[in-house]
Amino acid sequence: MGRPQSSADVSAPLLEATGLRKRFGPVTALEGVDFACAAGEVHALLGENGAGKSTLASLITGLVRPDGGEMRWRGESAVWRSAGQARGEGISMVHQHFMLVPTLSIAENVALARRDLGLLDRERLHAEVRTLAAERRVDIGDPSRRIEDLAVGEQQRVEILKALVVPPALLVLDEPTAVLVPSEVRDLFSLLRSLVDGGTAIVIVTHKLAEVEALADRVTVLRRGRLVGTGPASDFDASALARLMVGERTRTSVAGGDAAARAGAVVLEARGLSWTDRSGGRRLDDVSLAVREGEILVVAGVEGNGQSELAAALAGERAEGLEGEVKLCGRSIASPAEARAAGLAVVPADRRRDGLVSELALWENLLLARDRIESAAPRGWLRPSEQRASARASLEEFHVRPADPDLPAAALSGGNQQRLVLARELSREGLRAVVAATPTRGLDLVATEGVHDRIRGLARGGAAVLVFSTDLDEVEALADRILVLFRGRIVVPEAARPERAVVGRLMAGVAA
Amino acid sequence: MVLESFLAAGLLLATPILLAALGELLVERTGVLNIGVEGTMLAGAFAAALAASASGDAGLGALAAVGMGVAVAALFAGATLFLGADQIIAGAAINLLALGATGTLYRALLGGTGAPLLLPSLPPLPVPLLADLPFVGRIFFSQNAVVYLAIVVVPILAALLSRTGLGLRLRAIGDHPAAASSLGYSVRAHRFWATLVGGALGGLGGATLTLAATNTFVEGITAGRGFVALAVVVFGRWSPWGALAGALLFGLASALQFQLQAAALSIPYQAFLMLPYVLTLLVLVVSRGSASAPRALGTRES
Amino acid sequence: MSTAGDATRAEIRNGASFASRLGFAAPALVAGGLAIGLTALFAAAAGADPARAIGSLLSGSVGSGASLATTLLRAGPLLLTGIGVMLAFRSGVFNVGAEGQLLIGALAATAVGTRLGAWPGQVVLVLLAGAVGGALWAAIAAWLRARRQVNEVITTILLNFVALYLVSWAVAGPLQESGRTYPQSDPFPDPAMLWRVPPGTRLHFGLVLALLAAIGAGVLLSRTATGLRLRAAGLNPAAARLAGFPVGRDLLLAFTLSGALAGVAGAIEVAGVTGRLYERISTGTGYTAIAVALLGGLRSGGVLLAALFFAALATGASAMERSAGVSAVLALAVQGATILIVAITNRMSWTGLAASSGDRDGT
Repeated sequence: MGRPQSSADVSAPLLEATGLRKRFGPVTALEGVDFACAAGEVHALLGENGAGKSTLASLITGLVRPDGGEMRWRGESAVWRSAGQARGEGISMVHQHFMLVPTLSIAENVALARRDLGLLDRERLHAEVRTLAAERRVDIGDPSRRIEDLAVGEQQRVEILKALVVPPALLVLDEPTAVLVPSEVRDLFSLLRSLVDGGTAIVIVTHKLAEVEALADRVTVLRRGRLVGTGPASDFDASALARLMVGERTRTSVAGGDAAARAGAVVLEARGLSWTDRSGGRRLDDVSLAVREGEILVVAGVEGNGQSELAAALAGERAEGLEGEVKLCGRSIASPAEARAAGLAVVPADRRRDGLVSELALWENLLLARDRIESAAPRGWLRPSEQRASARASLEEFHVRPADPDLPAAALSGGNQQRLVLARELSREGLRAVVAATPTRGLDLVATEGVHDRIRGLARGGAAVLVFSTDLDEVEALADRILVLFRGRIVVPEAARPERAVVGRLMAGVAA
Repeated sequence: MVLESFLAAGLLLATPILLAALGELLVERTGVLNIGVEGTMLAGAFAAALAASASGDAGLGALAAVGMGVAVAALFAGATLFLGADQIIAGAAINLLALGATGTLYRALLGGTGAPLLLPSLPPLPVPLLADLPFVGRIFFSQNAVVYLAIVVVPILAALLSRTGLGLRLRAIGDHPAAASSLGYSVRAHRFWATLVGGALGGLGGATLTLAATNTFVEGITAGRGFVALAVVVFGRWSPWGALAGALLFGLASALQFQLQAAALSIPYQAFLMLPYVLTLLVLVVSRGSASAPRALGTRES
Repeated sequence: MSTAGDATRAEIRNGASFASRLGFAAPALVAGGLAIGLTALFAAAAGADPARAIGSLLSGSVGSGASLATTLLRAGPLLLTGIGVMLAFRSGVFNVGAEGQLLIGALAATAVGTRLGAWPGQVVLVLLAGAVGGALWAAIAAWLRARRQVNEVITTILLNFVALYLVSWAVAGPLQESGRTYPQSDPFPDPAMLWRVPPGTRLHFGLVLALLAAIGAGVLLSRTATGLRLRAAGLNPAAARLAGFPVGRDLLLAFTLSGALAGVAGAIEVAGVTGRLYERISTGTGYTAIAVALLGGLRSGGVLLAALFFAALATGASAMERSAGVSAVLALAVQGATILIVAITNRMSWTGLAASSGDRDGT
């Protein structure tokens, strides 16, 4: 272990894969994909969600074994039996969903990565981790803190430090910027640059074109599990990459902001919401907001700044220690059941955890809302055949694939699960207000447009809509009014629809 | 004198539960829920009785119990970790299997009809000097070897879990197996060995029942103590010291029940028999919560 | 990686595995064959003639009208408790306290049956008392989980022991027979006993009740809004709560319903078979019920077959003990080994079982 690749022959690829194939059950994730990367360069792996980027990254790092194709590492044929073996060969990965043990401290997670055995002297370990962090130029703060008490950006730095315990020959990062504010992204990029200068090969999985421009030497674009383009980054401009990613369609930009005329009475209201978690962290700090009939309010912010807590509170959850009040149509709401009864639709951020029951059939999942099940079974009796038929129509309408009402939700891909939740939540009768957290996450551009159209349609129909978004494109496309959530506090921009750059700065906590 | 013997008896009665609970605690910290503790203890108790009566040596009996505990745990681990059986179902099956197998074999091998079986017992091993201390000497330092062992395992296990690299791995595997496996640790291997050690402790716990507490074997001698050990793990919030506290509570309540019965008060004896269970229940109600459970407890390898 | 696992599970659900094509009957059928083989093996190991043991096992369980009746009488309480466990498990309630709930049900039924005189229709109240007793006993654990976040596995286990000693005290105290000789209750008066169905046999109306309960529970789970709510809460409580479902109330419902079924099992045992209460009224029925429910794949039909299988095995084992000299507790070992093997071959999982909606392969 521990072979810094400063003297590598740049002409010969460090890793070379040909004809990789991978299936998950009936779903083909990758088909005939070639990929190569060399020491001392950044290779961007680009594609929309579901294009197969993460699968390719998992094959390279030994997390998943290919069903076909060949991989060569340092010129020799290689089959990784496990992530541990790939790690031993000098391939580290920074996962999108961090592989950190939440109950352990920063130092303990690093110790795991160092493969420490024997007695652990806390003081010494903390000192060593501090030194390591300084050497690798990763700022992690006090190493005795528990992972679950850290902000997301901090957790990512721990994840990176873990990957750098032994300087890797190849570092794979899966969507590393999804949870970072712009200034953190800059820090990350300069860290990556310095690693590359030291001879490390870097593969960065992303769907953001700006990152390719800022960082990549080479680009590979995947679409629906197939290779659609590869070459030096200088050979592609942004619009070419966008076309490769999405096919021939390009994005039409639609601006919101025509709601001033139709905005009516306040429907959804939060007053003085504050919440302190068990370890004393103030997750929400005196949050007040109001959404009017026919209005789309977008709460912009980087993940981990209180969105999930605020979304839960607005959905009626009363977490222990939550202060303040949520009102829907003038009535105080004390439970999700009351919120549902008052006409609230909820699209949770974590659909697998909160939005659906993976083991239940699609038609059953479409009934997982109080008002829906009550109207489907007014006397308590389900009529499965009728329900299947109406489910099929609903699945078709929202382009859920496959639209088989009897499949369990677990059989759907992430994007289709999101569509399933949207199909349930956005096509309800008697809908007065919508709380949607990152409603288009996991959807391709066309589907995103469809969801945006539907959200605008709901607002035009008189619903009060609140959208949480981390994506400035989405903020622009939807918002009648914009608020920013930063470290649990609401920041009100001076203008109702401030400029993109202003929102970006507010999201990063920089005074506009 | 009454207080001393009461406390000494409490410690002795706590020992089988403590051993089984410590074993189960180790297993659960790696994310495996083995509800077959009851069966493991019972099999251990039987193996101890068989070996001790055949050899006349209680020490050999204890050794046989350890071996039997490991064997039963290996059966559980094989079924769940390697052959994909559900942990809860496999644990329940092992309880039935042990109850039936020990019952049948007991009748076939140890008679089971005539006079009750009388087994050699683990002799008390007074610790030189310490045993002569007033009060504590009699309670803590005039017990048998297994009691000492049980008490010594508490700090060892606590230190192993919180102060060693191995303990770190075990906890990581129990809380986030995917993270551990992404670093190249074998979730399955760690769980396997932890389960075997847990089985050894459970089997030894069973041996304490036959070789120290009663000096005989009857069918179903564990009488639910394996389940109490499961409760003690939760009660102690997955900490060895907590398990010690829980086991002592149960042991002392059991000892108290004997004392009160002996005092021949006009209270029905069943009230005393209930006492340990009711007391444990009340303490659970007061202490509440199971937030410290290993996050991946009972799930399959991921 | 979870995608891969989920996809596999979906394949299994869609009938890719042999066992699932056989439907709910598969585990019980496999188990039946296994049990016979294992019994022969164990009997030989214990020094008896395996052929003779198997012969007496079969003839003793289903070989004659009398033995068949005994098997059915044993199956009744097993089916009721097994269905109760199934309801709880599918709803995310790990109620392993059927034993205690059964005992308290029997206790309450006996109080009504022997301490309130004798009057026409009394048996209805006896059954009701059993149901209420079991439900209330379960409600303690339900309350502790809902209000104090205490794990129900632990509380129900502890409550089983408390119930056992309560019965032991009652039959030597307030419910003891008038003669005060043995620790047992007075016999039930005629109007407090269950009707014989069909008349003239030992079989009683409680068995009909058990069958109805099995059908009812299946319909409840797969055909009603309440059932969907219960299953959703069992599989993903967070999603169920966000859906606006009354998760707390549903938990109480599933728990008490489960307890009520176990309580009725206790009631039909005293009011249908023994005619009085004594300390050893249950031979671990409530524990076996867990195995019955799991082996039955948490489906009503499967639980019915599993209950019959366990009952036949226990009855046959008693016959085997008499004629082949093999201890009857061997049946427990056979049950355990069978469940283990079926668990391995079917990869049954509690959550996996709770998953599928079950309405396509009947209830």
